[in-house]
Amino acid sequence: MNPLPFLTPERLPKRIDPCPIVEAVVELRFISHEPWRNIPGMLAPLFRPRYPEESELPLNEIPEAIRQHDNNLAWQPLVQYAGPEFTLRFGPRVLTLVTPTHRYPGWARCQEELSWILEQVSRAGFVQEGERLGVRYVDFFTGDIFPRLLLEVGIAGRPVQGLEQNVTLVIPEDRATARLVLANGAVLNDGAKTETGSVLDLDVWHRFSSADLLREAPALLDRLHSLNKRIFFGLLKPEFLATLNPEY
Amino acid sequence: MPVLAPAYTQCAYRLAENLQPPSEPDRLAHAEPGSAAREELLLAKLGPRGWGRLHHFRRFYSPGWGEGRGRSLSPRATEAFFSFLAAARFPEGVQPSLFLTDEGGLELAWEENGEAVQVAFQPGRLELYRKGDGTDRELPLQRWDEAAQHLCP
Repeated sequence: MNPLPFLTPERLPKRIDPCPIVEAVVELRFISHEPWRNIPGMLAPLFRPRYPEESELPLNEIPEAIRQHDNNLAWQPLVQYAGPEFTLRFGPRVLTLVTPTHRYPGWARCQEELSWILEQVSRAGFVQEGERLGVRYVDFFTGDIFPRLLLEVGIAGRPVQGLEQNVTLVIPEDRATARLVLANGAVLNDGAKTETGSVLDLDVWHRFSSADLLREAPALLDRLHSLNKRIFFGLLKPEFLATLNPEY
Repeated sequence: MPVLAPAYTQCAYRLAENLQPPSEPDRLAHAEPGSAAREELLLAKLGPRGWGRLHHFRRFYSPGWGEGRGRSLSPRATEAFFSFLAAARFPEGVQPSLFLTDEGGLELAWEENGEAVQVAFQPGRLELYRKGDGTDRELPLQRWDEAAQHLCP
């Protein structure tokens, strides 16, 4: 068992305001015995009632051979089903549920939707095995996030300040893995406006080794969500957290 | 300078130009996050050829490969394969060959005193074969340690 390499608060806030979450993404990577060409046809009738807007994503234009070669593209979705509350994206080996930009509905609502989605996926029967289950939160802050964090980037014991920075850490914890990306030169274009600031992008996932993905997924997702939250709040300086008006 | 070109990957933000990672040189690839130790294990036990083959099987073998019945590489089989690999001690100078099975499993094959030894990690079971002592049996996938103990202690 690998504990987190830093301390996390004993009490975690239920919410903060202003909420920095741009979007939350729950990702299920899987393998299927069905060729990709058959899968959209199996999914559309199941998801259309809740996700009526179906569209192809730009990556679908790129030939499969190129997508498979590129690590950044191999596990990306190719089609999207948009509904009033969430967006669902599918690819040959991935399913993602994405919350609307700047309108995070809370974990309880995400869980409810996920349980419905997993039920539909189970009915469609195309998932042969789960490969990885992840919960990712993308948070955006105006200004430079680094001075507001307990994490320090330094050279010879002196913190680096005022420079453009992009830091990635991979943190193992028990059977989960967290990938933290911190950057103080991020550009957010949410459709309404474009702004620059800092991003805290935290993806926490669990690699599957058991057969019963759909039965195990809800409890695992809950655990991943908690871990994501612990890491996030473990990074913030108490004085910075106080400015976010935490509610316990 | 903000980067606002249409993206092929779905991400809520872009990094400013100065912070974007440079393109990867042809001969360098980043390990997937959290898998650096596995990459090292794979290289140490199977060499660059086995390392390359596993990546190839994982990426390029879609459902229906071969004559239409081949399955994609099973994550469960892969987990058992890595556990076995960590525990296995192959004979001096031996680097087993790696194959993808029709069922989406992995098979390791090598020779011991000129005779064939094989272990297949299928999605739900292990298949062990050693010509020298007549071993030819199956085990549940979770018993990879027993397989390693028997075939390459």
